[in-house]
Amino acid sequence: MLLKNHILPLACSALTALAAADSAKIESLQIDVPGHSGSLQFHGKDMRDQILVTAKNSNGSLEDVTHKAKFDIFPSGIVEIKDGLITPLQNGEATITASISDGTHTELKATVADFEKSTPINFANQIVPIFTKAGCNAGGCHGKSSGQNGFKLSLLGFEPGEDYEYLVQDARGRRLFPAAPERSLLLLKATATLPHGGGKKLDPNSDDYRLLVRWISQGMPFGKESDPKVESIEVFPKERIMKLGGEQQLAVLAHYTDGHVEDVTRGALYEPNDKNMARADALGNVTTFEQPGDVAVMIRYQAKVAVFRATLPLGAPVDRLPPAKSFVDELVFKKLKALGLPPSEICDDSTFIRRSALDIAGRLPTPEETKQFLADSDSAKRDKWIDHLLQSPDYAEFFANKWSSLLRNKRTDSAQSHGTFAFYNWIRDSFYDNKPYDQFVREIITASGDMSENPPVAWYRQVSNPNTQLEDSAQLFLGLRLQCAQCHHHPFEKWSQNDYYSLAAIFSRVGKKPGSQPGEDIVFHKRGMASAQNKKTKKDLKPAALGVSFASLKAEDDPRDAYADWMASKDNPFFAKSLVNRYWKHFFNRGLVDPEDDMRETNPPTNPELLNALAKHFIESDFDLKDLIRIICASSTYQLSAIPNEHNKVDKQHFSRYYPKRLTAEVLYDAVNNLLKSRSQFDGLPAGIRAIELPDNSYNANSYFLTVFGRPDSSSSCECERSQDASLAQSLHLLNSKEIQDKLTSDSGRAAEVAKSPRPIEEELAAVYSIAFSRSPTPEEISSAKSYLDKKIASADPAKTKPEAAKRQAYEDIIWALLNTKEFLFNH
Amino acid sequence: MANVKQHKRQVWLQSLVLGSLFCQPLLHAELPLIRLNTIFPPGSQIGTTAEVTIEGADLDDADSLLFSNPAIKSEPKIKSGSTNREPNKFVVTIPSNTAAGICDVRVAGRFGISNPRAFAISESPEINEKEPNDSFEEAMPLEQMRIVNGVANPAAYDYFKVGCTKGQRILARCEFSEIDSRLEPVLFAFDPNKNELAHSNRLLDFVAPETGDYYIQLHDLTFRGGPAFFYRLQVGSFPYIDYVIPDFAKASQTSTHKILGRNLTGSTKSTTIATDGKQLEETSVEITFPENKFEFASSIPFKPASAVLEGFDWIYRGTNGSGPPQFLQFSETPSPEPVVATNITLPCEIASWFSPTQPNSFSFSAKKGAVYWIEIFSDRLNLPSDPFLVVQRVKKSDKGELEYSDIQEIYDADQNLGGPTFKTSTRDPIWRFEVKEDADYRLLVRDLFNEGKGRKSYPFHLSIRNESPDFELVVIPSVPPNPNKDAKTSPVWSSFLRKEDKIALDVFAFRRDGFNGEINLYFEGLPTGVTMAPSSIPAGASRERFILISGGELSPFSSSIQLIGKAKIGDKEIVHHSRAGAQLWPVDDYTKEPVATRLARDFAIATTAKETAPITLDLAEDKTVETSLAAKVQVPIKITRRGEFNNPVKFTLQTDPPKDFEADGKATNATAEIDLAQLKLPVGTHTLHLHAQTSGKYRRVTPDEIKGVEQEIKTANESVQAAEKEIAELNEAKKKPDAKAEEIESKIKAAQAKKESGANLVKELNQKIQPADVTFTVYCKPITLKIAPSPIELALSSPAMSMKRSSKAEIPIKITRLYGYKDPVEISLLVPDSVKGLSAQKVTIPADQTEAKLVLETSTDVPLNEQKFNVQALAKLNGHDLKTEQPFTLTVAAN
Repeated sequence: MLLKNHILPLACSALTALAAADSAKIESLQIDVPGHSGSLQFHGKDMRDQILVTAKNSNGSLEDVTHKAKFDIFPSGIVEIKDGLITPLQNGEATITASISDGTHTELKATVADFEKSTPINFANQIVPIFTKAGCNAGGCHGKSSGQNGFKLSLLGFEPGEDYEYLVQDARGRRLFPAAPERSLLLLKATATLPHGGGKKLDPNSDDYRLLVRWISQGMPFGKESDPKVESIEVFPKERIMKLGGEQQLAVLAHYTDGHVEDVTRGALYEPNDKNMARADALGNVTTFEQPGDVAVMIRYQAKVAVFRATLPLGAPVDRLPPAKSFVDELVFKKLKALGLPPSEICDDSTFIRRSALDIAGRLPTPEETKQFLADSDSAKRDKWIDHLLQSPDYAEFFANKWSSLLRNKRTDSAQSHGTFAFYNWIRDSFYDNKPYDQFVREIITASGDMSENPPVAWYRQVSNPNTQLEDSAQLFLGLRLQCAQCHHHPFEKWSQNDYYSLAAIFSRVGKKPGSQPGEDIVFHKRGMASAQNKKTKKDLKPAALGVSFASLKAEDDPRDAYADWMASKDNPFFAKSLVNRYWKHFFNRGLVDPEDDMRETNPPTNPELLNALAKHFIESDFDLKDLIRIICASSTYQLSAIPNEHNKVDKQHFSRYYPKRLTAEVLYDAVNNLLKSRSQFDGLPAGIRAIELPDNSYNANSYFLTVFGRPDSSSSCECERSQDASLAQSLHLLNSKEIQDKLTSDSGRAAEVAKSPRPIEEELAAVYSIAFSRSPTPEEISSAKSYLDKKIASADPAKTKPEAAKRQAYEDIIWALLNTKEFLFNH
Repeated sequence: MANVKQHKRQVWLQSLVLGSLFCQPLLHAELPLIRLNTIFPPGSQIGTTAEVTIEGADLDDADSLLFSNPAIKSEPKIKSGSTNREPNKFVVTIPSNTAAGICDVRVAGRFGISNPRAFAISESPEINEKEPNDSFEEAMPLEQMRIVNGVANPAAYDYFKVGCTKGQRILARCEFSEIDSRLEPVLFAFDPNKNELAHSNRLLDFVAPETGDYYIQLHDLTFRGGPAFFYRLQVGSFPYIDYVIPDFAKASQTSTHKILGRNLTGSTKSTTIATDGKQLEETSVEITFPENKFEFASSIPFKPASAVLEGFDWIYRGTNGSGPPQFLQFSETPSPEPVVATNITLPCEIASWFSPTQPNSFSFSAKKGAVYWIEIFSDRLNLPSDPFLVVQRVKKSDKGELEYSDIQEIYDADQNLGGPTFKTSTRDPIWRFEVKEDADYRLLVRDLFNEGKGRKSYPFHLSIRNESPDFELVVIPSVPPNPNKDAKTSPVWSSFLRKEDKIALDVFAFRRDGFNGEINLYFEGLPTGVTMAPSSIPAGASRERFILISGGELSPFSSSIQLIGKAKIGDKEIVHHSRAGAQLWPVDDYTKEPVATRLARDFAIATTAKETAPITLDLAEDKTVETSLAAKVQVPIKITRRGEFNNPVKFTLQTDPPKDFEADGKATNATAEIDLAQLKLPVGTHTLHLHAQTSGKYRRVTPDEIKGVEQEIKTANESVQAAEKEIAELNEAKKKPDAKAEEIESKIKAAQAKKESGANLVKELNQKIQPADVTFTVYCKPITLKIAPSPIELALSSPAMSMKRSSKAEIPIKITRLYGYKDPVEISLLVPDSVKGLSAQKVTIPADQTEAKLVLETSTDVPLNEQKFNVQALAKLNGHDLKTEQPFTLTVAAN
């Protein structure tokens, strides 16, 4: 909601203005110190504040000039400014003047009072963030569960109590030396005075160092139980339209439970979600690169996170847009216009029929389908084709293939095939019947009984304990990765261990007993009050779904039902968004949030309005998956060409063109068989069965093709297990493996068939091109192929090779070449 | 594909002729025992005669089929133009007055009578699947209503094409588990344009959108296939029954029942949605329940735990045909409670539906001291449910609100008497409710498999009855143990006795409502010369092994027999006919593959007069072995060896833990040593089973028959040679210029087939007369062991005496030494600590002696009243102290 209400209106007006930003003049400067209004007032010597200097341009755009501005302070000695950070020096009042090279300037009054007062140190609020900032408690250093070289800290300082114990009490307190704080082992190591594997982490002249010294000299106070705690953090500005190659200083405020606010800019950590678009330094200064789009910078302080969002418009004119067929196009084009990112043209019919068949049905169109489609003059033919695909078993089988892997339909023993086949069939039939998605998920989450009677029980075979059940269900159906929160507060999210174990409690009454088949346990709800113990606090927690309590549950009630109800409720903030985002990625090769199953505040969508609208539409359609696919694929956005124009080549996140993707292992395997007219043979399955119909992972072991092209092993609920990367091994396999060569040279193969055909070469080539690319060959391609054929036949030694054999070899070569083109290997 | 499939079919047919062993797991080679794997077609129409082919193991001289429905007759098929029979082919006649349903068929031959295999009797015309039909293009045409008997081939599909009229509600019903098939079908229906219309794993149901040819596709879930994957498929607008509500009523009465199903004559649309999502139709019918004759021969393949059911098969008949048989249970109350009842009066029986969203709740009042048994029938009626009960006490709070407190949660009865290979457990809950106080109670009923929104709902039968102890029995042939004790094999077995033989049977007692008494057993119809030991299931036991023992004089016998159980319950003698159990398919590893079992429709045994058991084990002394706790006893075993069976014999005494011992090769006796110091057997009488395994060379024919077989080999060889000659001549003829090549080729093929067939026969006959290595199991009559508490009996000359204070008196002691016990025995007086002033020094009766005197002394302050003590005799045996006591009363009088 924040994004929708605040960012987009701002973006639309300002982005337009920014199109001509380079020629705009600075009209005025504004100096801000977040947390202070009017003037800046320091109380005590420990306060620090980040200053932000913003230039307002003649076209209305804003530009950060904090690090370009010159600061004059009068009288001097009251405060000082370094890298935009104001530090009090003594009591008094001073005027700060910020100016830039053209003379534009602005002023701010600063008052320092009670300078002699020093606030009592609170370990959690002031000391722990030093370790986090310096990286001491990172997962790769002392923050890992086993610590580092005998010294352990809690990951990212999420457990200050434990950190205090490690520092002050562990190893008989040898790390700290109150009598001579500077001689403390902690400081000697951190400053690399003594050898330290992590190198120098603290500058002896830094504020952080001085604070640590002061803390040690005070006898290492922990603070009082009543001391305020950080309630939230806030970043300034929250969003900004920035130039390519621009910069923006951020200021971060921590809001405490007692209502007071502190600047923690220097204590916070900054991490952009796309390192190709921006970087952020330790001081909170964000620098953008040359790629237009949206970038988010995650700010983390203690267990709290905030996000700064920057939009980097390209600023090119967007004066020609394809027709907007639905809200999908409206919102994508709106964004493209705002970014000045002109979309590619609509793709041609050949490209569309091939693309949509591969994306919806996991197969190439047949030559007959292509011919009919290309000849059809109906303006609605693309929509009708999409419907045709969605009604076909191919759609159900292709999406069953995708989901079977995500639902970990894994066979680790031959005896498990009964369950994996049954589960696959259930998934396949669910898609064929267009079972509403909420019902599909409900039947999995609440599965009970015997696998033979209720196949989704098979989900509980691989996902066998409450922790994996909650983690998989959250990642798969809510787009949330909660694994981290099992052991500590989630580092990028607000989820705590209590959230984690409350979710685990939902699965705490899942009972199992032997089923009718060995290895197929029966799942049932064990009557009783569900609860799970927080591993750290040892507190028993009642079931709750990420803050939503299921307080009314009775002993009779299966909490899984309440979980499914919560997911399917129309105001669930995760469920529908997660699915539409997952499907968006399926078709566009990039999620609106990416990775698609890592949806969090700190990884915002590139087009939040579109994500919200898709989710709303999906909910209003009663979770109709075919309808969702229909609205996506019927959009002009989906039908844009993959060929970039002069502006959108750099676009990787706003869908101004179709992003080509390598065919998945199974689809490519089937496509190769299709092109080469060969039949698959998987153990125990009918000859010719397509790879997308394989029910489980077990066939990977005997298919190098499937393995090398990244067919997942169904070991996790992450889409990332499926690899669509390209590799040398893949290229070599297609180029010269025995498997491909055998298919290519088979007597019953395509080349043999074509070579034997009495039809003219042009017709044969057209047929092969139709299978491979759903298009006719160009005159150049025909000419080139004919020339190769003639040459091959003419150059053959008649004593060794008959002309018919030479012709067949030539066709083998031509088809081999087509097979290895990007046009064949990619969906584009 | 078609060629491959045809080839596979040929291989299968060849294996039929040879009596294939391929369906049996790779076990040790036991002595031959006939087994029936398949009968094809697995059913036939009433009023017709059909040819069937059987396949199995050890089918030598398999000359008769025996049906559990005695109306069905069969005879071996005779080759046309010959008096010889075609091996493994039979002609089966189903008289027109036969009732439709499923019965069992067994095959009898030289090596006994086989395991049962289901055989369907239908009211519809039937046809056999014709290959190839692996694709849409090859789909086999099928008329509506006609049943096709087919076999799923591995890694393949079967297609059928059926003409349907627009608007017809078409059902495609596949029978598989009902007829013992290993198939788990996946069915699809396609419209005339080959668009998918419906999918299911049992019943397709669709309304034909247009008139035309529709396609049915079938394959096994995991694409297994072969002869064991047979099925019966019927497509048409025939009636189908999903539920009969209630599915029980009192015997010999007529009651009204609601029928829920599809294509029902005169029905209305029901609000009930079937578990496959289809809307059901409903109608009401009057059903007259027959007399309860306690016979069990349902068409339903019930699991062993269903042996407690009593009921009958009922068939719905509409104008469009009949539905599959429905099992209706006999109830114990006159009429079932209304389905919606929530306030009930005990005892009662209720027919209702599990509610997925909230528990079914039944409220009742009960009086202190009353005892009820609460039981759900659902899983045992083959419904995929998991009933669960909670009994709660209902109270009113001070504010007048109802409060519920749990008394008992009742999960599965889970009494598995048969281990992993013959599971007798059920998911149905059963509980004895002893009412502790006059109060209101509530019973909550749930189906743990189907809780929650949108889940399926199944019916259940709830019985809350007064305690009525009873029992049912199930008998199965015992499977000989695998010599490899780590093996997890489970072969199909049957009961076959040679002369001087012993085989084992296992009998399971399903005890009801706390019945714990002894059950006496006997067979009706046992052939002459066969006896059984022991003859009862002891009190408290639920499983007992019995040995059938044959003598030296036997007549050939192959028939069903009836095991009867008799028990005294209260003052009544209850008699029950035992059900039988059967394992359907052999299993190599039961930890990886389920062992399919069901209740059989009869129990059969066979005896032969042609063979004598290669080895016979007997107890050298056929009497009860008496001994005491901690003793070591030796039981001599007699080994009678015949033929070439002179290898060591490895015995296993079935104790806990089992005890192994061995007799050398050629040894004719052995000794079973029973060390009671190690075994945890209590005082009482025990039956200890003993079996042994040995190996040797076995011929499938008797010496007298060898010559005949050799003659058959000679004849077969001659036919091979004749065929070879014919082939040579035909090849020569083919070279002639005017030769009719096609005609000659055809003749050559026929001659080659003859040659091949003859060569196979030669091979088979040679195998018959060649001795083959076998390792087999032999049983012994069980040892009856009576265990006394001590090896001595203690006797006092008088159980009471009087004496005065400060005096001495002697108690004469006499012991009787038992079981050869010779060691000294220590005698002492057990005086409680509370009794002061009385003592007696221990005395020892020396070895081999039997008498002693215990001297009692009283002091001046011994109480003046009657004191009761025990005199104890302590015998030491194998490191154990065995004590025997006798009561003794002493009266102390004042001086």
